[in-house]
Amino acid sequence: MIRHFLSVTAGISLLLISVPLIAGEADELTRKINAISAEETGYPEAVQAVAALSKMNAEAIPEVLAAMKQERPVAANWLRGAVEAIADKARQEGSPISNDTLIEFIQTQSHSAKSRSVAYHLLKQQDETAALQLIPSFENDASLELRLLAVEKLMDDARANLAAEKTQEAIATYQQALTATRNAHQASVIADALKELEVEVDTTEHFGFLKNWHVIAAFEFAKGDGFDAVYPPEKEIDLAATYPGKLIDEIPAPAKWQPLKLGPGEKSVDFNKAFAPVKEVVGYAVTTFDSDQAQEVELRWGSANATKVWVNGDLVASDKVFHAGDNFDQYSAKAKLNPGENTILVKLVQNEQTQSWTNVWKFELRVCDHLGTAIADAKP
Amino acid sequence: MRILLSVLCLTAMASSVTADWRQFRGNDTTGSSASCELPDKWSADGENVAWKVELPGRGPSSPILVDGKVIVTTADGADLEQLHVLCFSAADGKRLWQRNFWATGRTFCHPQTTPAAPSPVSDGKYVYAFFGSSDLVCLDLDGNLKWYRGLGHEHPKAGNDVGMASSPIVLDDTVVVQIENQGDSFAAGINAENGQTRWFLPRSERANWASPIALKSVNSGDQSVALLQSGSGVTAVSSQSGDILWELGGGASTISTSLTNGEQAFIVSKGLTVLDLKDPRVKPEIAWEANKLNPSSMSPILHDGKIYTINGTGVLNCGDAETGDLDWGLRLKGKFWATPVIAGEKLIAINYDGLAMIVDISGEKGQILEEIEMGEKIQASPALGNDAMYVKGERHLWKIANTQ
Repeated sequence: MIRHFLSVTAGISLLLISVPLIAGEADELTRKINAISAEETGYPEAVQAVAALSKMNAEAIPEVLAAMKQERPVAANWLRGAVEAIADKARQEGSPISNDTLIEFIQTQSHSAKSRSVAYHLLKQQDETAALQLIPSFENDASLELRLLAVEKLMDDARANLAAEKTQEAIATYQQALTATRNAHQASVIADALKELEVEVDTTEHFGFLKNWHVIAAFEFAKGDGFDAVYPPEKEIDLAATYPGKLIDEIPAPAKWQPLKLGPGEKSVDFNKAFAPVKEVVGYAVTTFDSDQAQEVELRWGSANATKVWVNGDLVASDKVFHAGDNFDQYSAKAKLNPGENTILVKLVQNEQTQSWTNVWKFELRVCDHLGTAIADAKP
Repeated sequence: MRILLSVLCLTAMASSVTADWRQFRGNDTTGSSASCELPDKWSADGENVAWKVELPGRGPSSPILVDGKVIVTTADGADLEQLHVLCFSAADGKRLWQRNFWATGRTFCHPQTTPAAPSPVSDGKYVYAFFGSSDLVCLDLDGNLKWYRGLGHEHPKAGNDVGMASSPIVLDDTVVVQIENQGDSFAAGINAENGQTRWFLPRSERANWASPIALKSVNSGDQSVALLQSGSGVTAVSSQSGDILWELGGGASTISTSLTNGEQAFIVSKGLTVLDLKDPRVKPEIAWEANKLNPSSMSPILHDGKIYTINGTGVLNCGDAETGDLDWGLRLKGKFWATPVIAGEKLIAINYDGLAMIVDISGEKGQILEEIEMGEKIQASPALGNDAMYVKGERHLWKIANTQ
């Protein structure tokens, strides 16, 4: 009985052993996974493909990793699941992928940021020392996951310099870290550390929040319909014009534009400060942004109020969300800038909620590349 | 062949004697296990701790127990974009596997939470892990990916930047999710076999953290009705088609989740509203309403004919499930997020600061027997199984069981 049982167990184990890589097979399977669409085509085929991929041996890992595409994040998760299953089984069978293969993959910049990050984590699982040695090379990496590690290492180095009373080295290292980071939390920690060392840092400037605005209020909220109502600033930008606005005591009508310039360290365009803390109102803010070339950029903004954003008259985003959070880079939209002057218009809608946390009526906005690197206004 | 069948039968028998806790509040969603015997007391790091493991990342999602495996979800990363599904051996706490994914939808949330707020669910064969970023992943119990659905990628405005938390359910080969917020708001039935949408139901654009429940009827045997809960009330839908079968207005909680024992449905509306569940496909009659049993943010649990809730001021209330009459109230300590569980005659309530209170519910009035500091924030409802309790804190997962 026991012998039979062992035979069956061995048989079942054989079925679980990794399947050798056949040339072209992994490629065909990854194509099926990358073929899934938001319209849900290709799912049954992808289910079969990921099951087959997950049974392959470690030789398949580079090919599956290489199939991860940054612009196909859902398929990338399918492939990550397969890679991790392959790697787990390979380690359990005592035949993991070699460190050299992973390191070469990580160092090949043409691979997607996602795939290089997964390769790094596989390396760290099987040889942490080898993985940690790579971290300084990620300082300006296109993978923000990897860059985060390099910045963290620089921050640790700066703290070590401070502990060793090497103040100037610490300052230089912190500044190096600040230049590299694209993460708000890291930048905030670095700025605080530099401030302690009597070095002023303007994180608003670092992240490129726009500071020179004109603002106008107040228009009718109209029980929420004001979000979609087309008020005069959506038809024309005439900073000298006046318009009949909402009749409220706190903000005198007619509505007219007024300048709003943010100082060092400030990033919020705050309508409560510019006008008055009121509810059920609509306001607009406009600015110009000079670009030295035609380019595609990302606008990123945060607000607890509902917002619409236009670039050169084109609506690029509409988010009718009230008081559900106010986060760094909470919203983003791609936009095409013309060479020279571009107009950015923001509609900011305050609703009827009465809780204390709903009194805010403000936003912050910046222009950056796809990594979050600030793009400077080219105005002289 | 006969030998293989014997082995498979033995395996099946072994599985059948293993107590599972396959979703938030357990298989029957009552949050109780009459046969589970826990130790009278324990400590966070020693006494009656069978094992304790550190977790990568954090999240309020509850652990589940499937076929001797404890499965949890967490999230971490610079933008909480790294989603983790982890599996531990219930026997010894060994990490059996970990799978990692990138959030494809919104990950913004309040600092107290993360995208790993919805609890995973299992049908005993697969695990369906859902995240606040509206990512839904199906894995087998060995960690092999079956399918992945980026509902947040398909609906980029889906998300409540306080943090989504509605847990999925699986019934009738369909995974039901509620993604209700001020952006892209909907409920959906996802084919458990391949991740494709069976049905899509637009929902009110209002923030909602409550979870759907399955209306499995004891009387009719029907297992094909899902009950969606929101601020407007409840909506019963066919799990296969999404067709609306009946609705009950009057409002309902957007945080606390209703429950059913197959004969009654305890709806978190006007405190508690109880429905006689003769046929889940037909709009039921209201049996009773009890405002005094309002469960606030925690969900109600049911044990031996009594319904238990914790109100907004931290009072544990015990009511008669047949009548809604309040039997007794007992003031607990601190603020709560975690729904309590009942093992045998002990109710375990763990507050946000990690103070576990063991309440004796065998008498005419509840009585706190022990208070145990777990040493970290706890928002997850524990899982019970095989005379053990699995507690998930902000940084650790414990197995509490008699180690003598």
